Amino acid sequence: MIWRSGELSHRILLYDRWNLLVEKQGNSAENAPKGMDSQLENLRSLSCHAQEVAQDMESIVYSLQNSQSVFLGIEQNENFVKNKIGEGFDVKYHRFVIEALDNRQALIIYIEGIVDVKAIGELLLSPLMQRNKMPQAVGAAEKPGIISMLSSAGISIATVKESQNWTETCDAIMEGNCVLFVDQCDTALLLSVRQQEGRAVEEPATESEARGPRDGFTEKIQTNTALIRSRIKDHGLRFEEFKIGERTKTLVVLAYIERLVSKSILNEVRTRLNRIKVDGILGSSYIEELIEDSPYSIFPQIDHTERPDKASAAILEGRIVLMVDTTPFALIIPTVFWNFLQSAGDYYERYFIGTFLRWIRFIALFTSASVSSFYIMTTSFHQEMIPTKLALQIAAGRADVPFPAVLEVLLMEILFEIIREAGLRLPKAIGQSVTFVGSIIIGQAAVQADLVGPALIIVVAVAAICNFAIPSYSLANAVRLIRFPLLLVTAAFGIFGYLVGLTAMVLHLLSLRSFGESFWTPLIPFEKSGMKDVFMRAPMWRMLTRPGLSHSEDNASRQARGQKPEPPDNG
Amino acid sequence: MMNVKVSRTMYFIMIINILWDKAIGATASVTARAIGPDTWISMSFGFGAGAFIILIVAYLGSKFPEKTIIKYSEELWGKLLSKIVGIILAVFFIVAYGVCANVLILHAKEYFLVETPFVLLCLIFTLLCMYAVYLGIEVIARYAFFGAVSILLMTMLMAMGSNDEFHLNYLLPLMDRGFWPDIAASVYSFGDIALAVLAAGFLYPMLDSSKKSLSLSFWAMIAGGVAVIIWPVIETGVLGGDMMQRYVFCCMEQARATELSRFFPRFELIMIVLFNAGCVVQSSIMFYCAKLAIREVTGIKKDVYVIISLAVILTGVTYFIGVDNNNYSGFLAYPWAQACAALSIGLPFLLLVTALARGKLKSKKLLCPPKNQSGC
Amino acid sequence: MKKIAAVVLIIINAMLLPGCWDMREINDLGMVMAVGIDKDVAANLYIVTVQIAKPASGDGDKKSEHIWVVSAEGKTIFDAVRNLALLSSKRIMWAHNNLIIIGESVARDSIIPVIDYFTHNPEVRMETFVVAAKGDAKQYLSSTSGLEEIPGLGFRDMYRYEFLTGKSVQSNVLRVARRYFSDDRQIAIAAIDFEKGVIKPGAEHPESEAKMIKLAGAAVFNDDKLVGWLTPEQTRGLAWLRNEAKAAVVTVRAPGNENRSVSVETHNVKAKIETEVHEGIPAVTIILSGDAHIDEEDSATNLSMEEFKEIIDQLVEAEIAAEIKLTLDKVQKEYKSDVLDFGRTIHAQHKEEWNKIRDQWPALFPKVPVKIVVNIEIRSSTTLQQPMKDLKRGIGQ
Repeated sequence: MIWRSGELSHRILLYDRWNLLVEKQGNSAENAPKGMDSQLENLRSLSCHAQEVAQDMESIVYSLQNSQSVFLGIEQNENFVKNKIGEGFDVKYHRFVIEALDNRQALIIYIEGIVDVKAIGELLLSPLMQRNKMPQAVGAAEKPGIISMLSSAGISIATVKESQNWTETCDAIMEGNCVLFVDQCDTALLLSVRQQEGRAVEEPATESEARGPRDGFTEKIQTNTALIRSRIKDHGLRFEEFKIGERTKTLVVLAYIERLVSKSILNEVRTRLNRIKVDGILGSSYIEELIEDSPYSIFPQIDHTERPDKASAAILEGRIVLMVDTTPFALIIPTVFWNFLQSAGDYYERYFIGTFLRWIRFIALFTSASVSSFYIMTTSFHQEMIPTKLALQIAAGRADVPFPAVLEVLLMEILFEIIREAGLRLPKAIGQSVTFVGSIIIGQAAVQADLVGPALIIVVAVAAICNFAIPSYSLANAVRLIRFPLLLVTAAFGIFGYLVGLTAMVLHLLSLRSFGESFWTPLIPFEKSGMKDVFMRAPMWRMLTRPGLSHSEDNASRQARGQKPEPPDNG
Repeated sequence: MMNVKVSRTMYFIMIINILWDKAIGATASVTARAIGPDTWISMSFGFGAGAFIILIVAYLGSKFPEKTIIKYSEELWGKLLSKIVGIILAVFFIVAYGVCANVLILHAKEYFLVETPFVLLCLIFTLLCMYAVYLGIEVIARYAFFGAVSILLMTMLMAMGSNDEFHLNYLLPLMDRGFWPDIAASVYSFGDIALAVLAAGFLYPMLDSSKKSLSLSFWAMIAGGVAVIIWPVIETGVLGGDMMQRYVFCCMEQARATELSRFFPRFELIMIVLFNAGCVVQSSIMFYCAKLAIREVTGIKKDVYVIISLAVILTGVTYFIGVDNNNYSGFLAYPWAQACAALSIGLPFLLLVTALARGKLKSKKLLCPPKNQSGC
Repeated sequence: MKKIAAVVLIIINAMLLPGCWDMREINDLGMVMAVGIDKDVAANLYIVTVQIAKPASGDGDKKSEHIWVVSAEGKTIFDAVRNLALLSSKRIMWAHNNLIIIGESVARDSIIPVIDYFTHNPEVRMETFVVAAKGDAKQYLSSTSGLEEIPGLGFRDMYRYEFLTGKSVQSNVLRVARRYFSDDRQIAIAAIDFEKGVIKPGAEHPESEAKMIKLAGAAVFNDDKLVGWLTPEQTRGLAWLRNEAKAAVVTVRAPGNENRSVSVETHNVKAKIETEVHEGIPAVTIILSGDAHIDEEDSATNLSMEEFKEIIDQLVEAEIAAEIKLTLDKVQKEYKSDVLDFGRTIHAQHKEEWNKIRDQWPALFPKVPVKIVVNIEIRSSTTLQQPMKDLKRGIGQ
């Protein structure tokens, strides 16, 4: 028997089996019992099944309990909530009397610290507690109508919701809503008075641009969606809500434009999000790890950003932005490899410099991964590759060094990684200077002590600096990692090893997908219109269609033709 | 398996990649030993003929949509004969892999890594191709794009770098050894053409649209041929037909004779870097076709078993073919070239004749999946 | 599955970690800058002398030598090279070699070992300059005078600029090997000799003069043996024919003054060789065409620019034709070796006749009649509009 716990069909199966057994018992009772063994056998199986059924019953009772609705009596409600949430120091229960309803008892429950207490006082309690603010004709209205009446005519708070479901109600309390119970009424009123301390909107630390807006996402998702709304005013802009995480119930929002987004990708994202069943989501990287196509790969497949302008640009291209509450990093789905090498500044400066900087980044990417391997190749295996004078210089520099080149490189690389990590741990003020000075001094001292050759310091420094030039931190980390296997395989087999390692890495990269479409669009498979943004940044008036396959078919064109500024035709 | 689809551009590029690497080095040397400075003429004849042969395979493939060459040979000839065809093809591709892989490995061994044990080089190269085949034909097709870029770059750099030493004089007189000897020597080019023709038997069903697929195959072969022929022309112009005969890989010798400015004195390095992509694609496709052939013959469902056991066999085959490079060149001249010629001309031709005789050439439409689901 | 993966990983690591068969540290290598090959004919041994560069250490001692010269013997060149390991603390590496000097002893004996060794070895660059030395190769390698610290590097640059005179032949490994393997051409290799030159500053004995190496014409081979030397002037005729005299200077008598000269620099000179074969006897016409500029006039003249140019033009054409004839006489009549590519041209232009006469070509070659046609057009006098004047003496009004 294969357990698939939690399925209704299985429960039904169990009950059937129970019934069958009971029947069987009944039947065999009629016929002469065959002997003690068979009886014992039956009993044993019965007790087994009984245990299983009992376990199931527990879960059924639990879910029944949770879907139980709000009680009528206010005492019961209060006790129920106290059992559930507890009476911690910030959970407040306040009983009061609604005069207009013949002094009916009412209860509000809220959690101090995440609600606006003043709003509760001014907008909720004061209208209810003052008789002259409520219409007189209320009096003996029926019970269910009271709450609706209160919400529509009594309370001044804008966002209200009625609920009879305990899960919803308790969730609402935890989220910073204020819940109102009225005696003899089995509906609770959920009032949104959430107010939370948050960071001011400021430029993101990791993605600053020379010329561009200086606002960045913060930890409050409402601020983030507001920042996007200030940029996109299209009627089709949608924010779809998800609550992910069993215990954190983090609010996750998908932002997209209805007519532009590709339906298949949207459905795929929804499916994957709905499939997530984890304890908690503390950052967007948790979601990234749970929904990406190749979880074992060291290369990132989903881009993230703190800049609302980058997110808005993605939405305008027909992609989906996934924002997570409590973290300023939004994910952009689907991502292609070229997005990791684009930065917002490309679009704010003129197109030529944008193109030039893209090429610099490609060179930086390649160099960062390969320069140490090249050093090993040229000094240990194929000395014929370098011009004679350079070879003599390097040989002179290494004349007194005791280590073989491979060991030298590994030592310096690992040392540099340690310095970099140490720099992160130090407080900001001294961290940068220590890293800077430390690396120079250590490098210099190592050369003078003849522990390493001078050419090597340059190689390691170049590799590190090129790493910093890659716009996406995740990709830069992946490159940092890939350096080491490439180095090892080059040290074993020279250029052949390097080529094999490089090819393996490229093959791996080529096999990555992003939500169903190839990771390397628009280069492979080739799409001419998208190529305007890969190796160069075409001028604004040239980018006539949306790139990639991530948009819906019928909305590919985004600009009118003929926008290039030209002098007027004077004839 | 047949759900994998390859776009037309990728198919085109893959065919060019299959042809290029081995042809400019190994085949050019073997042909030069036979025919001297007329290598390029002889190879042109070969590739021209190959274009027509690949048309036959493509034509047959279009009449039996979504079926590899083994499957439709089963339709035409019956199960037993098709199994035999499958086995012959599997052996062919295994040996072809050994031949192709040795191109890169011998290059590395002779010019760069003289003392490394040969078996290790074979092993790591085969591991790489195993990884490529494991990832699937789509990834190989995408990598073929890099192969095509390398081919272009390499040819351009070579043309620029050998400007000084190129003497048109050395190519004259045309057809120095005579017309018929040139045609006879074109059998050596079949060592490469057969690879493309028979691989097309497996790759053709993967095309995602049947629009103009016949002419696509034809022009792919012609384009590959042009890309290849430029090299013997340059080699003859720089080295001379007589010097080409000496080497196992005269393309590397050509690279050594080229100088592209004072700061890149050693062109061999650039050569092997750009060579690598085409070689990996070539070898991986041979591996892949061998895998397909074995799967169709034996009916094993799980890919992984076939791949791993093939990898072991292939390492051994590569080692034995390449460990003595004189044997390698000798093997290419005889019997590899002749066997290839026989197989690549004979098999499609016989299939065509049978199909005509049995009237199975009624036109059928290739089922094209909707655009969003196409693989590449 | 996991166990298999673990085993595979262990095997891979076991292969990679212990290190690597081809790894050589760069400071353990002795980079050969120039190599000379001699033969001890009596003992039938090859003597290989190499000039190895010493990388300057951090605390550079400027006075010390930058090169180290060492030599060893062996039955073949390869054997001798290996025997160098008995003397050298560093491993010999050929990749940066710039010059191969073939001693006269080897040249007269046979240059096949040289060609074979240097084409067999994958480390050798094909652009390495090959020269034939008058006398022993050994002595050339230890001379350190010249502009460069490492003479071997100096040679590489000398080879690059030799086209400025055209008085030498561009012979590198590729060209020599190419010519050797073809069936219708012979080899000519640049020759070097010593030149009494500059006094070394700070030398102990001011009278002693340092010897410098200079390019001194060419060595002509027949098959694989040296048959004779060509002087620089004779070599220039060869260079004209091979399109290697790209920027040569031709000096002619100045019109009106027998003792002075005018120098003309030629550009874009192209030689076209046309052949005809009548009844098995080939005839060759050499057509040389190009431009020139007047670069120096050593005396004043009364002529106008057009007249001056015309006279110089004819003189230059005659001079070039005479140079070619000089070469032809030496090469065709005396050395009887087809370094002029006549055979190749006949092969290219008349395939069928060549197949008939190919076996008798060595005997036919000295008898081939050659017609020389020179067409040089003098374009201008560099930067100047008028010929030289001497107004004080009334020349050139």
